[in-house]
Amino acid sequence: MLKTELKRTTRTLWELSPKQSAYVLDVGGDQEMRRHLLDLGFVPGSQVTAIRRSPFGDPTVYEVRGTMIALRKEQASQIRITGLDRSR
Amino acid sequence: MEYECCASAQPWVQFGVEHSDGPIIALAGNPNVGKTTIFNALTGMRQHTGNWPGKTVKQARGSYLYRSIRFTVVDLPGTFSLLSHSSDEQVARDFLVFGRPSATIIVVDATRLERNLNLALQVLEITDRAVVALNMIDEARNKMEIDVEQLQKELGVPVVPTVARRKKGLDKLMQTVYELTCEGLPTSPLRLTYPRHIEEAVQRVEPLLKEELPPWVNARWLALRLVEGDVSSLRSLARYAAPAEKGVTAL
Amino acid sequence: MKLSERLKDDPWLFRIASRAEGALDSAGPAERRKAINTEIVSLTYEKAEQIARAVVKPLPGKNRDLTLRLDDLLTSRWFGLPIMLLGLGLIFWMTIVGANVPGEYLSVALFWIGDQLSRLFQWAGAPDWLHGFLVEGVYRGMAWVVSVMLPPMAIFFPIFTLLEDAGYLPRVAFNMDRLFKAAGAHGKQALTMAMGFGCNAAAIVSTRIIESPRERMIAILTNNFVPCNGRWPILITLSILFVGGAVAAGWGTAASTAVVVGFVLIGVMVTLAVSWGLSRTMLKGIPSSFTLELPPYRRPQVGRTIIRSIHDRTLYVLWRAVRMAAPAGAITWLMANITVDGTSLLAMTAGWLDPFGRSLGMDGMILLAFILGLPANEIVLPILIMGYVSAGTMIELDSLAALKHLLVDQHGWTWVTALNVMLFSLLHYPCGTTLQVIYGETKSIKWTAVAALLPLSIAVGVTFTVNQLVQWMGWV
Repeated sequence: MLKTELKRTTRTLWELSPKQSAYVLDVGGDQEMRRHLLDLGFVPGSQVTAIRRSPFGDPTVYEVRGTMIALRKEQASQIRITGLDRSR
Repeated sequence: MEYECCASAQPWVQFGVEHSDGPIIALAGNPNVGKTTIFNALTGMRQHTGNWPGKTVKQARGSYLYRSIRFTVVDLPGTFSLLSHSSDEQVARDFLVFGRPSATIIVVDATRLERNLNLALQVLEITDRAVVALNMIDEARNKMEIDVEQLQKELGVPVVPTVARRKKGLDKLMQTVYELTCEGLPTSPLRLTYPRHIEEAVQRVEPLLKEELPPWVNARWLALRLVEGDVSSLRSLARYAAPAEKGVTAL
Repeated sequence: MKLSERLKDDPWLFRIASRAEGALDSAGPAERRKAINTEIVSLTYEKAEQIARAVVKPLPGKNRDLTLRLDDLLTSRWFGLPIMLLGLGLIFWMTIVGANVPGEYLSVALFWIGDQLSRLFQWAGAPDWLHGFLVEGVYRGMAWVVSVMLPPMAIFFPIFTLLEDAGYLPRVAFNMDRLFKAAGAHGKQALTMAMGFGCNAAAIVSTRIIESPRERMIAILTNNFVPCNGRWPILITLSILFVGGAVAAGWGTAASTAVVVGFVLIGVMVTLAVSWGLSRTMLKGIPSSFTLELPPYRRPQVGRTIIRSIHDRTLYVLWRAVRMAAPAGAITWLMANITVDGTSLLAMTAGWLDPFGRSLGMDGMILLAFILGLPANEIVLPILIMGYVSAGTMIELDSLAALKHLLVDQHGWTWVTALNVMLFSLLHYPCGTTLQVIYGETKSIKWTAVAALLPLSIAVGVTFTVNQLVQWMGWV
């Protein structure tokens, strides 16, 4: 029970494990990075799926709006997500 | 009635494009959609590469002859959107907004339509003289069915399926460009309606802008940028459209 | 800060912004503007999604699955990197093997032309020095560069471009990014570095894919540390001579490939180390935001790609290299044939450089060959042989055995000498063509100078250290 409660709180994209999906809540960071991430499709409400991590653990590739984008930990941590579910 | 193929007094020189007798066509699109392939297919050997004035972004221009009219094509950098701050996006945006090309070809990858439409919609907010080249339609047909007519209805501008690698659809593309620039083909591009508070703000700001700006600048677009607080667009405005007597530097 | 305040410096913009703010009486807070921006971008995306849904009917997805499965292998934790390494070895092997025979034919053809030119000069009764200067100097320099440079590049670049077309290259950047991030650089540098295996000059042009100027400069300055096609022959020849002397016939190319891969790995480590150093000193800064799209794999268009790559990369570099090689050939011939008191300028300069050369584990003639080889790496070995043999022109020896005899027996080379020569070749300054391209891309004399001096000082430092260490340990 406690576990599911924890999962309901907002977390960052970086914490999403491979094969998990979630929805974008908001994007932080400085203006330029924000805009870039938004432009790539990490827009509030979009579904995001973590696909896999790089052999060295960073960056991670995510699928968003039909495209695969790799992000480093620094960028992925700026994207807040919610609605974690175990689908896919 | 003969439509003027080429409006006069365009500030193309500021963009490094020499004065041309014929229409100037901008080529826009996401990276990796085959834009360069289309550019090469249209212009063949008649190409010229350089840089956009004052930037390290590469610019390619070329031309082709269609119905005895010389069309100049300017290849804009591939971008995901026009609203960010990277040099590529600024160059593309500035040329579309302030360079006033006679028409714009928006190259879209049919296999990634949703992602590509983002840029297309942004371009349509700026200009109504546009045609969408739905490229890689052959690859798309392997994985999906695309209702081109419906797409055309939704976007409000002509959509021409192409397979640039095999030079298919280019004739129709050139024909459409011709109709846009020389025959006044009417279009009704999709214009987004934003949430009410934004639209209200735009309505208040737009008339002011119309007073201050030269008539050819898209006031609604600029109003949105003002409301958004986008300094970069305003700087470009000053650079390319400032009234001469204000003594603002043009270059 | 209010918008109008940010535009204070431009009276016209200031007026516009102020009037707008007046009309809105709330255009102020940055938070508000950020929210508006998000709303605008979101709306565009929503509309795009809506239209796509209305217009597109997907058929059962084949390609996405293929891409996912390929990536599961090619970017997997256990197999991703080994596959990359093997792939690299395979490409090198193909380049070495493929360039062998055409290279010989090309060589023979070009030198035959040279002979005809000589005949022509003879027939025209031209003076010896003119013939020497033009044919043995200028022409031969160019012929050498072309015959060494062209075949491997004509194989390497098309292969590379095919991989690019197929969509594999972003995966390389994806796999390697962590290393580059730790060095303060960008994952895409892995790609420009890989281009450098073919030709450093072309690789410098390709650094345009790195958006951040700081990280781009790091990529430019370190590109030189991986051996380009022009340096492979010297690495292969020397290592076979000194290590693979007992290599059986069939394993020749495998051994050569292994050597090149080995030096590439050393080069990669140096690249990462120097990148790290640069990002702490001359090119300090924060890592830029890294986003990389991994496009779906697609079948590359073989024919078109090959033609395009030959046109864009191979010919482009070849032309510039030939332009560099002509004066290089001329100067070398002059040095070798102008004598003062019976000694050629070449020998004299070599003698003068000798003490310094020996401190680095090499000798004066070797250093001079590197210096004269600044325009193009391909001529370093021929110049060296020419110098040793006191010939008046660049030559090649008939067999490896003859070369070994020349180096070891007649000029006292040991394995240390060979090692230092190979290290110096790997690490020293970029060739003239590359420097020219660097200047063209950076438009800065300062950085071009750094691009030359930084590797040079590292090369000197490393060879000096290796030499001293070996002497001290008594290994030689």
